[in-house]
This record gives sequence, C-alpha cells and structure tokens, in this order.
Amino acid sequence: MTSKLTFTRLFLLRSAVAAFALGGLAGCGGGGGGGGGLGVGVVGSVQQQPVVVVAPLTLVLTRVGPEAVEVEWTDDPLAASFLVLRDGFALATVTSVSLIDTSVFFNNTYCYRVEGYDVAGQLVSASSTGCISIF
Amino acid sequence: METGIRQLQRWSTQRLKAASFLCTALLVLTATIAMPRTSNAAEIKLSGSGTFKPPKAEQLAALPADLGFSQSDFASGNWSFAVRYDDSIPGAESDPYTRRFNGVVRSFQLTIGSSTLDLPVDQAVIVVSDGGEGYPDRESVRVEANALTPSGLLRLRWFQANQQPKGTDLRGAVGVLPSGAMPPYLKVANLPTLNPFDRFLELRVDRPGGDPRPLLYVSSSKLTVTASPATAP
Repeated sequence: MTSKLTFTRLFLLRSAVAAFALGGLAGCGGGGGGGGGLGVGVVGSVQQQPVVVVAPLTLVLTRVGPEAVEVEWTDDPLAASFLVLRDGFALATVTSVSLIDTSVFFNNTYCYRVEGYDVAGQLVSASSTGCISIF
Repeated sequence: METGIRQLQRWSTQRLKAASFLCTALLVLTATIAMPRTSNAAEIKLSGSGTFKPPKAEQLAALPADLGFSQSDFASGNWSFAVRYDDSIPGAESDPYTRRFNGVVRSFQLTIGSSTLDLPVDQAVIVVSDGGEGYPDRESVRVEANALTPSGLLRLRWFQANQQPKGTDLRGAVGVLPSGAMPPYLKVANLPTLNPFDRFLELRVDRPGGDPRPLLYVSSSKLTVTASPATAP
C-alpha cells in the first residue's frame, strides 16, 4: 500500500515537473517566429518555484460532547506529524490521526484543516477545510 | 279505475324519490364516517434513521444498566426516531420570531440498536425560530424531548439550522422560514441548511446532581429523515 502510494506520488511529481517544464518552454516560445500559435515573450529570467505535490487528506468532524469536537483525518505514510489548524491558527501538532478539541463553545462555528509534514518539515499532505457549528 | 292507476303511479314516484333520498343520505353518512380517517392531515408522522459513531469501549463500560439501552445497542451505531405531531396547533410566541409548540407531539420514540424507548410527550416540544433567540443569522427547527431516567436526564433532539454568515438578517421573508409558524412537514424533516453538519440528531444523558459533563453524548448528521401526513390512528 505504501509503495503504491509512493509510486503514485512520484508519478504525480514527475508529471508535474514535466508539465512545469513544458509550460515553461511554451511560455518562452515567442522568440522563434514561424509558429502558428500564440507566444508570450518573457524578458528577463524566470525564477522556477519548486513543485510541491500535496496529497489529499480526508477530514471528518464529529461532535463528541456538548462542547467537544473530534477531528479525524486519513493517514499519510509520508507524514511524520500533522498540524491541526482551527480558523487558520495552529491548534496542535500531533503524530496521531485524530484529536478531540474541547475548547469549543456553544453558538460558535469552528473551521478545521489538517496538514501533514514529513521528517524534513516539508508539507506533504493537506485536507480541505471543514466547519462545524456548536448549537 | 283511472284514479286508482294515477294513485299507483304517484306512490311509485314517491317510493323512487324516497329510495333516492335514502341512498343520498346513506352516501353522506358514509362520507361523514370516513372523513376523520382521510382528512386527518393535521397529524404528521416524522421519522429518521441513520448511523452514529459508537462511544468508545470505556465509555460503554461506564454506562448504567437502567438507561433503557444496552451497551450492544450503543455499539451497533444504528439509531432511529419516530415522532407524530399535530401541525394545526398555533403554538406560543416566545419572542417575535420564535414559537414554541408545546403539547403538539403525540408520540416520540427513540430506537438505538434493538431497543426502543417511548419518550414522554408532555416533555416534548417543537421550537421554530426565524432568526429569533438573539441570532438573526440563524433559522432553526428543533424537535426535542426530555425524559427523566434513574440514570439522569435524557435529552433527545432533531436539530436543523440554516445558519448564514454573521451580519445576515434572516428574520421575516428572507431565508427559508418566513416566520416562527409551524413550517410545512417537509421542512420539519429536511430544512435546507447551508452546512450539512447543521442538521443532526443528538442524544445527551446528564448525571443527576448537575455535573456539567454528560454521562453520554451521541450526535450524528448521517440521517435520512422523512415526513408525511399520518393516515392511520
């Protein structure tokens, strides 16, 4: 399972790099003349940004108490730790795939997002943002 | 002789008229008897079923035996509810945009796993808020019931809220509820909400003695809820 995931990740990474390279070539194709398509001439040097492929994490929010929300997400074997963000701010860094947030209050809405980081501290996976209201 | 024939014809006509009248009367009577069964549209049957995340093993082990549901019931992760209510009673205004419908619930059943509990209808209420209760950005429909058990106070509610971003004013015609009046039964079952998590069935059991931590708390948005006019008594 892990090797399959790693293979998929590498394939995606390579595809992205190739696409980026081709995109760069296409973008620089204005000087050759003769081509039928539109070309954009780029003056000066282009800073190539490193391509980061972020795997998706599935987020599940469950209210497990009157003022408690369980945040769960799918595992990522490449992630050494997960950062749980609430309303854009860091709530906790954990090595598990769930946590219970007991610092929620009635009549408020909380939005969570989880990011996975590898041992080098690189972002390797992330969830979409999910929100839950405490009524 | 001729007079006798005419008299016979008159009697015959009168008998026909009488038979016709009797038939009509019988039809009216039948319709009157049948009417309460077919026109009892004021009583609504609301029901829902789905799954919840079972409490952890240590939470299940701590549950008292007299709760009405066993550990295996909770471990099943399946639950349903069934409510019959009368939607023709106007209810009482608790603020200009909120109405409480006390006494409209005729029956309220909760099933968890393979056990069913009848909740007391005198402790059941439907509350409709059209941006009231101090939250103009929220419309809600709550069908709830309380039951005092030896283990504590059991509270069940089918809660739905159409909550819009802060600053939105949903009072009046804006939004999905025009007022705090009883909404059509389809909205009591499925109120359009902005967030799918804003509709849930919630069960809470509080220990006697006012401990703020509940003995049990289960909540789930994974439910299919339907409503229809009740046709059987």
